[in-house]
Amino acid sequence: MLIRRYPTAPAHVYLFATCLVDLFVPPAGLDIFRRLEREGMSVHFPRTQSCCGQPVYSSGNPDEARAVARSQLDVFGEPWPVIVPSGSSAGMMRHHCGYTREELIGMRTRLFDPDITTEKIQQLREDASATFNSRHRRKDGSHFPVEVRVRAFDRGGRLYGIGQVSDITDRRRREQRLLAQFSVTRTLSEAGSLEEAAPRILREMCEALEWDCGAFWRVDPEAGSGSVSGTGGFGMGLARRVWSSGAPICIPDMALDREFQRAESAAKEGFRAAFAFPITFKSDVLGVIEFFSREARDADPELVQMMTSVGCQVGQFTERTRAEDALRHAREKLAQASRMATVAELSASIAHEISQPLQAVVANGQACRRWLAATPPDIDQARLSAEAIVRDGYATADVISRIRALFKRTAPAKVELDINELILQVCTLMADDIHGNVISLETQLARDVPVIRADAVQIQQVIVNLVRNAIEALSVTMERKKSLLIRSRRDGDNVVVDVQDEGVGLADLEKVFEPFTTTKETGMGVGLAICRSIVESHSGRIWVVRNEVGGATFSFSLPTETSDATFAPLTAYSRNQGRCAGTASQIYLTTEGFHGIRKRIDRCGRRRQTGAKNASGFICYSSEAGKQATARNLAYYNIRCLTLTLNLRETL
Amino acid sequence: MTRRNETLVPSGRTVAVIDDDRRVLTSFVNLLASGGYGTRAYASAMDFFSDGYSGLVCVITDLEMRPIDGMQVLEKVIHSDAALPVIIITGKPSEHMEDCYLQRGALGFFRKPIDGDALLDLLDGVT
Repeated sequence: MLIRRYPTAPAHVYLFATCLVDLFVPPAGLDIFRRLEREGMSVHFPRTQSCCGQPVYSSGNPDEARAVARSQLDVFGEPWPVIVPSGSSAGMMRHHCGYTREELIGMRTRLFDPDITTEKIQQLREDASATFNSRHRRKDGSHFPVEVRVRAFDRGGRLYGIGQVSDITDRRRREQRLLAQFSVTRTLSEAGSLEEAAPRILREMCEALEWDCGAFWRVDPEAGSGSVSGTGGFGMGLARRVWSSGAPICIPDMALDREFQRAESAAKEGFRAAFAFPITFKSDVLGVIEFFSREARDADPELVQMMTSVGCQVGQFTERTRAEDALRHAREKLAQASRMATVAELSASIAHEISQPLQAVVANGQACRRWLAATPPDIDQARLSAEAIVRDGYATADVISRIRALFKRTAPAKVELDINELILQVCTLMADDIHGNVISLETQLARDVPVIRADAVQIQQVIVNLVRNAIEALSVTMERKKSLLIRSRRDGDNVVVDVQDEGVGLADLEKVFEPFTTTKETGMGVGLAICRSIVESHSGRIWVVRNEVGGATFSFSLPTETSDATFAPLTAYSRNQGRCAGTASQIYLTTEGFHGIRKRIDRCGRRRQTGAKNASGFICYSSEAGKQATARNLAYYNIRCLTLTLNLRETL
Repeated sequence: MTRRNETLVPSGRTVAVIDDDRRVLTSFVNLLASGGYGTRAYASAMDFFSDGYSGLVCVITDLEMRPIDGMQVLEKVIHSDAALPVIIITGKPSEHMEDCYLQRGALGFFRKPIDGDALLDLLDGVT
C-alpha cells in the first residue's frame, strides 16, 4: 500500500495567474482563487505581477529573462508557496528561483553561501558542530537569510559535514518588526516633542525594516495641508493620497503602478517600492509616514497591521504632546496674568500705604500756611505744624523702606543672634503702633533660649509682620481690653516665638500663608507668605492656631545650629538707641542701618556735646554699614564706645 | 477714647473727623483748626456713633475702615434725625466716581491728598 503524506495546507499562498490566464480566461483565475480560499488558505494576489519571462527566454535571451523573473520573485517576498496554474510558467519561475537538486550536487558551498568564512570552517573543525546565521544565494542572484546547523566528521583525514539549513526570512522579519516597534515605543517614551521623535523614528524604522528613505508628513490643521519633515525631504504625492483616504497604501513597484503619477521622479531617485500609512488619533489623520525602498517589495497584512499600530502610537503621542503644550501655554498665560495682577495689586497697595502719611504731610502743610497767613500770624501753631510735617515726612520714608525691606529677597546672611534681643527690638520699633491702638503688650521671654544662627533682618521682618497682623486684628476688635503677647521659648533643639492676640481671629487657617490671601481691605496679602518663605529658608516652620479665648496665635520655630565659631561675636547693642550708654568718653561711633534712627542718635549725641551739659562732651560719628564702621574704627582708633544695631545689611 | 482730641471753638463750628490713621487724623484736626473749626476726632466709626451728633455741623469720614466703613457712616448719618452733611475722603486710587457718593447724599468727595483750601471752602458753605 502506498502511503503518501501531504504537507498541511499553508495559511498563506501567493497566486501567480500567468499572462495567458489573465488575458484569455480571467474567470479561471478567479476560480482558482475561490477554490484555494475554500480550503482555508489566505490567497495573496500581488497586482504588480506580470510575466514569468518565458517569451524572452524562449527567444534566446536568458539574461533578460533572468531580470524579468527577478522582478517577479521580488513581488513574492514572503516565504509562502506560489501557486502557478501553468506547468511551464512554474518551471520558468523555479528555474530562476533556486538551484535544483541536481545542480546543487557537487557545487562548492561558497557559491551559494557567500557568508561562509574560514573562521566558521575552523570553528566547525574544532568543535565538530556549529550553528550560525548566513545568507544563501538563489540562482537569480538574490539572497535570503538562513540558519545553518552543521555537524562535522572526519573521514580519512577529510572534513565532511551534514547540515540542516532553514530559511529564516520569516523569523528575521518578525525580529526586525519587533525591533522596529520597540524602537518606536522607546523613542516616544523618551522624546518631548514630535519634532524630536520623528527623525529618530524614521531612522530606526528604516534601519530595522531595511527601507532606504523615510518621510514624515504632518497635517497642518489650519492650512489643511501637509508639511514635510523627513530623512530625505522627499515626497511623491503618496502622502496626500494616504491623508485623504486615511488608509495605508503600498506600492510594491512604482514603475509598474499606473495610478502613481510620479513614477518617473521615483525612478530618478532610484526608488521602486513605497509604503505610506497614516498617523491617526481616533478618526483623525494627523500626519503620514512614508518609506521608500530601492528594491521592489510588497507589504503583507502583518506589516500593514504593525504600521497601523505605529501610526496610532505616534498619533496618541502627538495628541498628548499637543495637549501638554496647550496646558503649558495656558499655565504660562495664567502665571503671567497673576504676575500682572500682582503688580496691579502691589502698586495699589503701596499707593495706599504711602498716600496715608503723605496726606498728613499735605494737610499739615496747608494748615501751616493758613496759620502764617492769619492776622495776626499764629507762629506757635505754624511751628507745630512744621514739626508735624517733618515727622510725617519721616513716617513716609519709613513706609517706603518698610515696603522695600518686605520685598528684599536675598539669601539669608546668617549671624549668631539672640531671639529675645530681636523681639525687644521689634517692640521698640512698633511701640507707636502698639500704644496708638491702646494695646497692652506683654512679653514672656525665656532665659534659656539658645543663640541661633539666622539672618537678623529677615527674622525681624517675620516678627514685625506677625506683630503688625496682631495689632491690626486687635484694632478692629470690639473688645475694650486689647492684649498682645509675644513669647519666646525653647522646644527641644528649636527656638519658638509665639505672637498671640485676642483679636478678631481668622476664618481660614489653612490658607493664611498662601500669597494674596488677605482679610484686610488694604493689605496685599503677601506678608505671611513672605514670612513663611523666610522661615522655611532657615529650615524652620511657621504655623497658626486659634486661641480658645478668641484670636489667633502665630508661631514659628527655628532650629538651633552649632556655631562654626568663625564669626567673632560683637557686643551688640540695639535697644534704647536714643540714649548713649557706656562710660563717657571722647568719641562715639554709631552703626545703624536705619537713617531715621541714626539721625536721632546723632542728634542726641550732638545736643549733649554742644549743650555742654556734660563736661567731657561727645564727638559722635555714625555709619550705616558695618564696613564703613570698621573703616572709621581704624581711622579713629580712640573710639571708646560703639553703638551697634543688630540688623546691619552686611556683616563686619 | 471719648472726646480725646476735641478742640474747643465757638459753637456752630465743630466738625467730626473719622479716620483710622492717627497721623492723618491729627493733620486734619490741625488743618480744620487753622480754618477756624473745632473738631471731634475719632479713630473708628464706632467711637463716633457712641459719642452722638450733638453740636456738630458736619461729618468728615474716611472710606476704608473696619468694622464700619465710610459708606455706612454716610448712610447712617444722613438718615438720622440730625441729617448732618457728610464729606467723604478716600485714599484708594480706584474706587467709584465722585458722582456715586454725591448721589448717595454726600456733601463732598475728596481723594487723598486732599485740597485743604477746597475742603475749608466747602465747610464754610455749610456753616
